[in-house]
Amino acid sequence: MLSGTVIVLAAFAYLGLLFAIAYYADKRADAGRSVIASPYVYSLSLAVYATAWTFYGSVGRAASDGVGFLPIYIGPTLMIAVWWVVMRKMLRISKQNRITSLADFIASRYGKSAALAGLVTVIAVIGILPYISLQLKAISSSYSILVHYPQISMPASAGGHPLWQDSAFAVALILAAFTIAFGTRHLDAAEHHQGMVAAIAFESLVKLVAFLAVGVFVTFGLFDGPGALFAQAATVPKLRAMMTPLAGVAGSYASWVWLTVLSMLAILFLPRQFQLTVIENLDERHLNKAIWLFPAYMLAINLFVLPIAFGGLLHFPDGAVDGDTFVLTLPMAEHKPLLALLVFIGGLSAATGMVIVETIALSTMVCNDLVMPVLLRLRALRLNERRDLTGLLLGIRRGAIVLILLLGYLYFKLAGEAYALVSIGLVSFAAVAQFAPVALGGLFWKGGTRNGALAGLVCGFAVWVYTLLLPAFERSGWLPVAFVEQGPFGIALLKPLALFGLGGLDEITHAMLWSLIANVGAYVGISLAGSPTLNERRQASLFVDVLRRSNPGGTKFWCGTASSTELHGLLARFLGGEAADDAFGAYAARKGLRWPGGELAAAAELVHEVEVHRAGAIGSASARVMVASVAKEEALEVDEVRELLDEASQVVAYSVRLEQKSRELEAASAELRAANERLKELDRLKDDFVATVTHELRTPLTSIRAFSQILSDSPDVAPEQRARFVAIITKETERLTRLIDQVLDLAKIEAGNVEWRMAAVDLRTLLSEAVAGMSRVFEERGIQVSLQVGQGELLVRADPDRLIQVVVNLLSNAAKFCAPGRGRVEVALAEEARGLRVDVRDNGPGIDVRDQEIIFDKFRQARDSVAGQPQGSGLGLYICRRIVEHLGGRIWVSSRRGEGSCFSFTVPGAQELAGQEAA
Amino acid sequence: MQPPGAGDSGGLPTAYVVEDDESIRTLWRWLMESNGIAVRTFETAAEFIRQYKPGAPGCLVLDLRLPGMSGVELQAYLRQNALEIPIVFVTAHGDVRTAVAAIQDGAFDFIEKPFSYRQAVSVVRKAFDRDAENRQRQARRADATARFATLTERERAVLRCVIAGKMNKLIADELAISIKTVEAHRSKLMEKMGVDSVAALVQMTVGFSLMDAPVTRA
Repeated sequence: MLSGTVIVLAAFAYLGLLFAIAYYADKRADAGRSVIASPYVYSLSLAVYATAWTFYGSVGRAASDGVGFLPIYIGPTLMIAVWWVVMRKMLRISKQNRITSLADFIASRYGKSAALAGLVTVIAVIGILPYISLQLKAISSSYSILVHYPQISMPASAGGHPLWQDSAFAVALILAAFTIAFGTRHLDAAEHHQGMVAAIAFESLVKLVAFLAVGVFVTFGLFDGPGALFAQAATVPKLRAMMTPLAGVAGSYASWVWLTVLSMLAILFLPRQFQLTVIENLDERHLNKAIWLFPAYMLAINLFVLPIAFGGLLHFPDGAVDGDTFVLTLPMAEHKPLLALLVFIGGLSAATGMVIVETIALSTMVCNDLVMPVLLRLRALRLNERRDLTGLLLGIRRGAIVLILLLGYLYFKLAGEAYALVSIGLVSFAAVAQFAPVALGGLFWKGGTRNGALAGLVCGFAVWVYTLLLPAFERSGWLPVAFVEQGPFGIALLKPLALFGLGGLDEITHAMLWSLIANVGAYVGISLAGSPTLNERRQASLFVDVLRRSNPGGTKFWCGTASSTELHGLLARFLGGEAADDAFGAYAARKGLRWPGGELAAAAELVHEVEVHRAGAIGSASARVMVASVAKEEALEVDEVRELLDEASQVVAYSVRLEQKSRELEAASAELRAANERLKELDRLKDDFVATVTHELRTPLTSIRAFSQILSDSPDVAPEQRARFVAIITKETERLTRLIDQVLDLAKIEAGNVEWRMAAVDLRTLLSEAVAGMSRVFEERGIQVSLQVGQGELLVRADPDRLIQVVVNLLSNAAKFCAPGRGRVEVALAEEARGLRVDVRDNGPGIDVRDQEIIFDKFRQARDSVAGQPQGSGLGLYICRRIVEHLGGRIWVSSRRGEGSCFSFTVPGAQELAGQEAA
Repeated sequence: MQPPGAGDSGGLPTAYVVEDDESIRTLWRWLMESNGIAVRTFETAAEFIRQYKPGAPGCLVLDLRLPGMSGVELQAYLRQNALEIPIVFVTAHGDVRTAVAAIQDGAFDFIEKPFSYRQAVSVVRKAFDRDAENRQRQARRADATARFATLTERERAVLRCVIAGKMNKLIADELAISIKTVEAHRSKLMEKMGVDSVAALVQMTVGFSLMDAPVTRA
């Protein structure tokens, strides 16, 4: 009923369907109506993570280890939670730099290093081979089992068949053909394979449906629901032990942790995951849905793993049936041919999906990062001069696909038989985990260098080979048993499974521990020991700061010249003339330039544009070599570039400092303006001072000079006139003397040259003396003076001569301004909290409020146009103020126009001042 | 001590002295009187403004620094009120700049303290002369303007041609009258303007800008 023909036909029909879907999706994409521009398709396509390993292997693992299969799915679920940080960055970087593969990504980060790209490719290919062999094994064994329907017999060793009868070999060839059809029908600059993605999404649905179908069948068909199934399993002691989480896993906790970490890294760095998550992503926002859809898928496909495993163990209690085959053998045992066929298709689907995407990703890497850089460097091939390289590129890729699948087959033949599916897969996981330090480090640490990355990868990979690959070879009989048992040359410390004596761990944990220590150690150590080159610095900042940068394009530091025609030719060679025209047209349109017909300024940006387009075709490392050959890139001195970089990073700091400086300058200039104003004011005051002094000096001089001339020249002047003139001369001379005294006094006070003879002075006596001294003046002008000072001593500490000068000045002012005959002047003394106050009150014309402050200034006098009273020098009150202030007191006037004035000053009491001095 | 008739426009030229210093006022009074010059002194500018009769002949001796209204402010006040009187500023050395500005604003002269009495007398005399000239000129202008107003329309036309230096023949052609009529007009207008030569006629007409002034017919 299920003859080989039927199975093969069904398989081909299914593959044909996948191809049809892919073809349809490609056509739709060409028409601009993409079927994969949906977050659901994107999320489903990510489920390529679930391969034949999941489909068959999880049950096998569960059958031996219980829940030990889970870390492989917990890891991705955890990882996807931090995708928003990690994957968004990787997506942004890849889109901006037209990254075409994982190798390209890592190489780009470290200065577009061709060596690094090649190394990553080699590691990826070698590391993934076991994984591919796993798929081949799964397909061929599932076929072998199914073809014996309804008998259940485990497939015999594959080695027994001749090559042409070996189903695995056939599977490899068929898959190679399909992969070529899917992935290399044409070249796309962005390395997008929309058809493939659509087919993978469909494939993910098929395998899920098939697995769920078996799960439902086992749980509800063979048993009466999960409750009954687990209850029955619990009766078997061996199975009950498995239900305890972590119990069945070798190395227990450490193993769980390491498997989880390993699969966290695998979901990022498996070439096929990178291809679908990053390269094929059409819209960054699709990530948002995938972040919960993908874990949901993982949950769904793992839901029935334990029920099937327990069902299988209960159904085949003798252990003759391999756990890896339970999914298929259970339906067969129950004579459900259609379900069995569906399972086979599901498994085929899971394996095919993985193989197609993986090999396409690897072939891109092999072509762009391994073969082309070498070919381009071989001058003999003259590739630089060939007009069209598309044929060559496609040829290389197709060859790579076939080669990879054949190598996978070879590994299967050599080592595959010795391991369970999951163990084979984990070896590959461990290999790609070696990319994690350089890739993740490159995303978040600018200090990583190309040499560090190379060293890290080489060391990590070497440890991987030593601790995982070589033991696998040993188990296949390729290496002597002693190599693993006793260590090479009998050195126990170098035993591959217990390096440096570290035993007791499972193989994977042991390998991961040592390889990551070697990898991270070398990467960080070598990076720190050296310093990044120009290219590395540029790329580091492009990668690490990608989310901070608003303008894409790494053209900042490119410095060179290139002819746009040359660049066009270069692009045409790889993409074909039409595509090159499109690219240049788009660039010109974006820049508002004319093309064709005008020479585009081959600015750094255009070169960059060509480079990213080229990167789409041949990878960025190769593209760089090619473009550099056309664009005569001027080698920048490292120091020069370092300066550039320093400048760029210091711009912010500078601008902050500049702002601060400009604020300081503003403040300084404001100060200067103010100072200038003060100087101008001082200058004006000085002019005023000079003018006033000369006026005040020359006026009496005029009288003196003129009257003396008259007296000497005119003998006939009447005697009474003569006497009058002499009196004037005398008076003016006195006035002059007084003025000169005042000016000198002022100069002394201002220069601080006054000798103060401080003493305890009885203010009452002093006031009485002053009034007595002025009495003649008051009498002359008919002014009444009253002195209200009370009795007894009131001591102040002052220079008595200076203090009396103040009082006399105030008195004479009062006398001057009082109307002759009607004037009244009162002198009063009052005790205050901090000393004594003297008031000199007159009934003169009073002083305007606006003048009350200025009269104490130098040469400032109240303007009195009404009264026209005799004016003084304008120095008297100023000198009074200086004296009073020096003595520690205060002088002021209170007055209203027409109501007389009251000049007051205070002097601190003698005790008060003494107390202060003591303190 | 004040001379009689001071302040009358027809009276003696008087030296009006505004000076806040009493001794200097005494000095001025003595200097002027002993040289036979009428003098009046004022302590402030306001006092002068109150008492000065507009048009009185003489000169103003003005101290730059005065309490209240300053000398310069008084000068501006007089100009604004079209009171023409020569001003002699009295200044101390530090005020020279102000004094020069005052001269540029039309002051007659300035003397610096301390001045000699001869200097003071002489500058006042010169200011008087200027005042007299001003008055004479004023009077002549008034006379010429009055005379000009008596000219007929035709006589003014002939006058315009004469000033332009045209011969009688040309004037006759231009005004379409006979030469004889032109000659008659000429002698009539010379008589009316009170001049006996063409030169004097031209000087008077142009000097006082009679032709430009608005015509006011008598």
